[in-house]
Amino acid sequence: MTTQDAGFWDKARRARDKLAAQFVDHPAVSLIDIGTVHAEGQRTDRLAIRIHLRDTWLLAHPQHTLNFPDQVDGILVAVLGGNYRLEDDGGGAGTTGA
Amino acid sequence: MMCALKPSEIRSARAARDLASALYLRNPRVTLVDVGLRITEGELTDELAVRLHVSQKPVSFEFESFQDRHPGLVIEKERIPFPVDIVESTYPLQWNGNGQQTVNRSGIFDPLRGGISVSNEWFYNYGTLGGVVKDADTGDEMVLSNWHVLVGSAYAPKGLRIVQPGCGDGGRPANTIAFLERDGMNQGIDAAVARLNSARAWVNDELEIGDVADVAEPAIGMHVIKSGRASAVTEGVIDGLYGEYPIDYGGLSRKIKHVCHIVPATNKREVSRGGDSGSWWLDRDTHQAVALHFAGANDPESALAMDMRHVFEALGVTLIL
Repeated sequence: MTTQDAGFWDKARRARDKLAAQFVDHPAVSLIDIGTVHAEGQRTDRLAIRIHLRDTWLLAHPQHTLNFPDQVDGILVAVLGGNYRLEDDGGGAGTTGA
Repeated sequence: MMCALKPSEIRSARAARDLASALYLRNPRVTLVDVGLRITEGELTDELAVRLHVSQKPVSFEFESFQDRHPGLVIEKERIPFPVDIVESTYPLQWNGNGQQTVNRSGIFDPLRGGISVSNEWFYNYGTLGGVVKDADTGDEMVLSNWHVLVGSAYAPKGLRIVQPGCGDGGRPANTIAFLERDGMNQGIDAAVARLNSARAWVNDELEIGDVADVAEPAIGMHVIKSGRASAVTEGVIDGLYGEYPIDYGGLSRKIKHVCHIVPATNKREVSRGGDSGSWWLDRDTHQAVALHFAGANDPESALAMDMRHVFEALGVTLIL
């Protein structure tokens, strides 16, 4: 498993909180977490704050441009796709991803 | 460098993808055509590309040999007016989870256990009964699943009937196993518990996995397994923690907290499917419960689940060992 000292996680979580305060309410953003960066389907050991985006929303709003910092307080920021939906058989009882 | 996504670029990429599909999707080598980030020397770049996924990608002299033998199967990148990435990958069909759904999870179970169909009596759907827990104060036995499986509405009253199998699997009031008790939505936890009646017995067990040993902290790189109503037993790896997930529950905005991100353990395998909501992700090696599944995505395949320690805390329950 990927290991980091407690100092890293404290710093990363504070940085994630900063980024979340700024972007988590954006309708294109589906999740902000801390995790590994993937390359060619393989997990690497590099950790980043990850902004997951609904490309469905972006494609529906072609004039909209999103700019994220490449790092926050020294923690790398990565962007990846994430069109998540609830996984009951009805796709959520009257619920949708924001 | 800024991580920037420009929808105009995505539009161009999609147009190029359509052309690439028209040109090459009937090529027997091609398994998928999509738009994504180019990968160079194992590293993700920020360059958008039309990606042609192929079953085999010969390189160097092997490519020259291939080109001589099968000129009609060679992909000519210059025909596509956009950067092109050739990715070697295949995507086998997965009709039944990992192809190993050996038990009918939509039927009536006695004793109750994790990994089977459940819902409340209001909604014609189903999710997964995650497992049996007890009230931390009273010791009352309860079933635990997602809020959107057991509750699903701001108007759902305490005492609402919970049926097994779920209504979408033919469950009826006669199949009532529990009555809705409380949920964790106010704490940003998509989870709920319902008090068991004495209609059926129960066991501390995840169907086709075994006993749940304890509750533990999830960690990046941890291999996890779950038993879900729809995709049966699947395996994944946790690659993200401390997630915050915004969602609109019927016009009511909520943020789900303590989210773990789970990806396939082996390349291109399914981790979850609609109907798995409520299932418990266990540490593969210790069978300790680490997260409660609630959402997923197919492209790329991944699952979202909440740190089980926070789920139990929000609901005021403990595991029955």
